[in-house]
Order: sequence, then structure tokens, then C-alpha cells
Amino acid sequence: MKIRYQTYARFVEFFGKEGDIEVIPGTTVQGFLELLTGEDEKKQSLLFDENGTVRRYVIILKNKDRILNEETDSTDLQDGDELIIYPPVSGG
Amino acid sequence: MIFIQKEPIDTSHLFDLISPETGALVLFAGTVRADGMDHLLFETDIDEAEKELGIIVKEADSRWGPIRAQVTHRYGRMHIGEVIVLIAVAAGHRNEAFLAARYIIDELKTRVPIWKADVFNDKVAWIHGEKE
Repeated sequence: MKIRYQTYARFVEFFGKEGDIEVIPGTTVQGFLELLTGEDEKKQSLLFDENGTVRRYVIILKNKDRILNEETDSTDLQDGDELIIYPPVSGG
Repeated sequence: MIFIQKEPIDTSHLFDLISPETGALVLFAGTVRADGMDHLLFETDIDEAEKELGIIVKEADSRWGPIRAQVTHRYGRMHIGEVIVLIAVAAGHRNEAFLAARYIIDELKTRVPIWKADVFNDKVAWIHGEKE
């Protein structure tokens, strides 16, 4: 199944502005993010802390709804879902 | 009222926030400081930024309300001295107005999808989040 993703600001330099990734049924948001980073340590360090947990100030939206970072491992994806991945914000 | 816009901020209607119940109006303006860059660049996800700011204002209202607030944040290229963000909060008393305005800017800086970059010699350097 196909999952579309979108990123902003400095994440664009690492992941591209947007893209599609084919995943197997049962893939969670956490699993998707791990596919996105692959084995690239820099990309991994942008999204995950040393325990492999999504960093606190990385914000994930699934189909426009924010999901808690501690829920990425229990949030399944469906074909056609759209993820938005925000780097830590710095407005104001 | 929430505005995410490229254009300079129109301040002519700010006092319209004042109602018969208002005893104080607090204004906070975040501006571009000369930090050695040529200019700043702001990027945002407008729909989500408006949505999250609306939630933040409601939270402030539930804690210090009733308040009437206007929050305007600009995006795009901004030069030294320009106003980036303007928060206006009208409340019954000054303490509530100050606290609500402070809450809104502090939450904005950690929750609202807006990103800032220094631009120097056409090189863009994205600035890390405040609590990163």
C-alpha cells in the first residue's frame, strides 16, 4: 500500500518536500518513519532520540490530525494515508 | 482572530478588541533583530498554523478569560526592524491580559508550524527550535 508524506523547512533538505513510499499492510507510523530514514544516521538522529523514540519536538500529522509521539508505534497506516512531518518549530 | 499572512501587519483595528468589559489591552510584537544575517525567511503550513493558534487562544481564554485576542504572524522574507508577529489581548484586567499574551507567544514558539531561517549571501540556515 502507498503512503504519501510531506515535510517542511530543514527536513526538506533530508527527506525531500514530499513523496510516496510503498509499505506492507500493518505498517505503523513508527515503521514508516524508520523506512523514511533508512540506515542514514543523520536522518535517524533528526527524527529519533537515542532510544529510537520520535523526538519530542518533531510533530507528526496523520491525515491532518496530530498524533502523539508516544502513539506512533501503535498507530497503523492504511493505503492512501498522508503523513506530515514537521521539524521543531521556530516561529515568533 | 488569527491571521497568517505575507503582508505587513495592519494595526488600525487593534482597538476594536476593546469592549465594555475590557479593562486592559496588551500588545506584544516580535521583530527582526540584527543578528548578522541579510534577512530572515519564514515558512509555514498556513492551515495548520491557523488551527493550532486557534486552539492556543482558546486555552488562554479558558485560563484567563474572557479575553478577546488577535494574533498575526507573517511569513516569507523579512528584514531588520520588521514586525514578525503581533499578539493583542484584551481582558478585564491587566494581569489576565499580560498572562494570556505571554502564554500565546510561548506556546506559539513550540507548537505552531512556522519555521525561521537566517539568510546570508543567499545561503539559507534554518534555525533550531527554542527547546530543541
